[in-house]
Amino acid sequence: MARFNIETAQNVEISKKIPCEKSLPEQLEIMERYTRVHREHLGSSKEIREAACLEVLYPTLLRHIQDQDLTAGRLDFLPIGFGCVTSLGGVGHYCVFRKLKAFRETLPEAMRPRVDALYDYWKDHDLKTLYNQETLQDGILGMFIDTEYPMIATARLSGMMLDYPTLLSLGIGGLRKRIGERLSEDPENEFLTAGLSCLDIFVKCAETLLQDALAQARGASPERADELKRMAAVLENIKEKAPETFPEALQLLWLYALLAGVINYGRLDDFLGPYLAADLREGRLTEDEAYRYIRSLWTLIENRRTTVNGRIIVGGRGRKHPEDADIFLHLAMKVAKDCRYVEPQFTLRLDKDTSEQVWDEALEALGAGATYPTIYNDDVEIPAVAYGMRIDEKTAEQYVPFGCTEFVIQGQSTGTPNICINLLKILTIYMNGGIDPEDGIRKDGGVPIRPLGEYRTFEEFYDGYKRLLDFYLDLSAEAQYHSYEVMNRHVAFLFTSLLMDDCIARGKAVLDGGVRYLGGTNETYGNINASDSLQAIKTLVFDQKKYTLKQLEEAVLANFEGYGQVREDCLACDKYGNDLDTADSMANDLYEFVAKGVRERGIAIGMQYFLIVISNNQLNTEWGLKTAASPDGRLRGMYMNPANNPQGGADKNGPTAMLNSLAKFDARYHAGSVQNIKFTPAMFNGHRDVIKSLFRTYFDRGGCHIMVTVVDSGVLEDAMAHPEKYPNLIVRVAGFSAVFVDLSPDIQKELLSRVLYDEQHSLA
Amino acid sequence: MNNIPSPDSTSVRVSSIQRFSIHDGPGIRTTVFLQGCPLRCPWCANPETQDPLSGKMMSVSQILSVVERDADYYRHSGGGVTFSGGEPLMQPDALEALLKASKASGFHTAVETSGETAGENLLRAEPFTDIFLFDIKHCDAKIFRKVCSGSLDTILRNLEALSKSGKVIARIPCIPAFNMDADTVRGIFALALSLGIKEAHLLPYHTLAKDKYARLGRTWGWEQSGISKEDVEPFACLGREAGLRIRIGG
Repeated sequence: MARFNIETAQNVEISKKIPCEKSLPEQLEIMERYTRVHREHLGSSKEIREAACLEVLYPTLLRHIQDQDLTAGRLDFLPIGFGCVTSLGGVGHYCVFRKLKAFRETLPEAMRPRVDALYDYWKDHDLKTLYNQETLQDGILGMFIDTEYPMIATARLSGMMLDYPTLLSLGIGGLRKRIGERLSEDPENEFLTAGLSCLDIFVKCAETLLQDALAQARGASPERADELKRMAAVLENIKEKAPETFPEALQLLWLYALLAGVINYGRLDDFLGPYLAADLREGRLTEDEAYRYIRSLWTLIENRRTTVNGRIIVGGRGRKHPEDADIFLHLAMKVAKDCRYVEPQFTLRLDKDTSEQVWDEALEALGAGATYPTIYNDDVEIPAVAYGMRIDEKTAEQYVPFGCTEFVIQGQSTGTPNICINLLKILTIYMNGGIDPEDGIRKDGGVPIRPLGEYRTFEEFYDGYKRLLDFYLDLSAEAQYHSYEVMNRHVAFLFTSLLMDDCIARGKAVLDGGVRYLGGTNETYGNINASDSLQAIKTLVFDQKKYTLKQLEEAVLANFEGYGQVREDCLACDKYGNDLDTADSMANDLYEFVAKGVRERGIAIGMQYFLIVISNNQLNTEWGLKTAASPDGRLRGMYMNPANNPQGGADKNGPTAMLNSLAKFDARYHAGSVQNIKFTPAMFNGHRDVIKSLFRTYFDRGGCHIMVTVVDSGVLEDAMAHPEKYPNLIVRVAGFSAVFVDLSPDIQKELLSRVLYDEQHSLA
Repeated sequence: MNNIPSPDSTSVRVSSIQRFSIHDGPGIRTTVFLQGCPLRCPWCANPETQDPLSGKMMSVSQILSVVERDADYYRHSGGGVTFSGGEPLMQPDALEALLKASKASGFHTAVETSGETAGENLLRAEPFTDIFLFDIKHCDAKIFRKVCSGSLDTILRNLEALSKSGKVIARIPCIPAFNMDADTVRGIFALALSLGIKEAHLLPYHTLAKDKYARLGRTWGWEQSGISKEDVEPFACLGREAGLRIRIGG
């Protein structure tokens, strides 16, 4: 069994969580109760156990309705509980040991042994720990997020986007009926039985919130009392009936998502648009009230603080109610522009037919510094998704990005990225005879590696690297698939399963054969540093014969200290991001090798799809800190390139060249690829037509996606020196936005290194 | 056919090629900075282009292969290729070959010139050029000669000949302590109008090139602080009153 520390931070957490409403003794009691129920149900089926445990948590963990809320429902999380994702609580029946330990420290001495008892129990029952024990391999495969490894794995069910149209059209009562009918055919089915318990939990939660609303209405101002009474009426209506109004539809969707523990919401314009349009048409809502409802939703999502999630998607092909949906879209654009929150990750899908108005609204919000919407190009993505996921184009129209950019098919597929791989670290290991120069540990997995002196051609050298990659790619598919097996052994993700095709019809939970498309994703890092390194090796060693491989490796191992000229030569080699055939082809070749390799392995192991995502949170920086110097000229410990973008500062030919490089990758082999670009306000807002043509051309040329930060030059530098002056400065890190001053200095430096396009650029 | 050599055999001295130029003509453009300039304006933003013997040699097709990379952007934005410098007309054969090749590829073409060249050079370029961004830096020949070492008479003669084409946009660098007084600016506008020019671009003086001088071992020759768009607004008003279409910035 591999050694690992169960207290390692399990995910990126930039946004500060809101403290729990419950007192410390209450929190302890809830965790004890949860643990007791879990223990008592060890002999039950996973479905019955899960339902019983969820009854401990809900409605107990509901927070009070806050003054600005127009839709009800906020939740607390404890270090022990149930969830789907690492950013809210944990995965399955979880214990976040690090947080439990911190919790212990806040308690009086006398109560601490009670925490110790919980800690001991969960050491053997925390789902992620169980997965880690079975899966991790010393030196080779580490846990999230242990950057000393070339590859890391986790068990989680990220990025679920539920079938809300079904929920909205049936309502809780209709869903109950559907499950009941299925149960009458299969009376012993515990998944369906437990599913019904979940609906009871939902109703109890609605009732709890309803009572809270009424209680608060008694002491509130007349206006607020009115709002709260409306809220109570809405909650009453959605306990059984299908929603009839926008506030009801929103409330139903929100409360369900909350209890399911899902943190991405999907195509809300299409789901909610018809309710909104009808309310506006029939005078039940004014436009201003609708704006306030959406703004309140934005706040609720922001307050969940999941850092990299909270996706709301608008626009694009395959909407069933495009005209009604656009009403939501326009209001949401306004809200996104006005709020400038880091979440929700507001996302616009567009294609050739998207109206000028939508383009202008999007650029307006971006120009205001909102970093939203992030923009996806349906003309490229839909056929790419259809190929990548092996589904027809009609189905592919329902693709939705979650998290940093990974795609799923709403209501039909899983796509959780449970593997991350550092391609550059593997290259440095390969070049050093299988030993990681960072820590001297052998990480070649037994793959034979020839001495550097033996390679006569670049192809031979590259081929050896590919053999080591093969080993890791094999392992990645196995570890991803195994994460599903382990999760399925212990949990059913009941709330999620009820709204995923075809769980009810099959009477099976999502990972138990219920989900229509079992997909997954693999996050790749250091892609461009690796390909630029290969380009430098090809140029300097094999084409120009300026150095031998050994000499180059010597310089790299010395972190270029005493080898200044070698580093200069490495840096002077062609780099990706400049629209050069040399470096871009190398990047594309490595991309296709890895992406196709992952995809083929996923299919072979039995998944519908397993695709790489060139997504990126901040791991490019954190993993860079633990990655040796590389032949692209990158120094030891330096950040690696962000997602699909060039290494910061390596692109010197302006934005058209950079975008041309980005557009060269065939989108069919990935399930999302983050593409960032940064402009000054003078450039972005002073030359809007140019920006629009720039993006449109990029999309025409096959660009799949763009994420935009608009920030003035010097501002980020100033914010590093004087953080107190910039509490609200939002930047796009990669697949997520953050308040700049909340980021660590290493990550801030990486952001600064990226080229900022200014109009002065062309004032030579 | 005249004596223009084939594109591949024409060598061009190039200072640099800048993609995504948005100040040298309409839309998104690629600007090719040709090497060499007869003038010595002390505020010159591209001092590295002045020496006619430096720069790197490129063939016309090499240059076009860079320009073509952004063809889609030109099409979407109404952009194209701009030949600037230096003074591009110091290499008249090369410029003509470049323009012809650009036109053959369907690109919108612009030439940015000081006008300080033999008249026939401009007329050779004219058939393949969509717009000329023609500098009028001053209206007083003596001051112009003293500060920039050029001949305003030559320039105006060339401008007169070229303006019949209707392709000329006047570019007026707004330089403090040189031409930024109402009389001079009015004089420049009057000149432009008398030659049938309808549009003028006012370019605010900036000092972004100071570092370049340091790198070239030279000293920055114009001790004035940079100015903003707002600073040239009064002159823009004068131009509009005189009946010109005015833009601030390129």
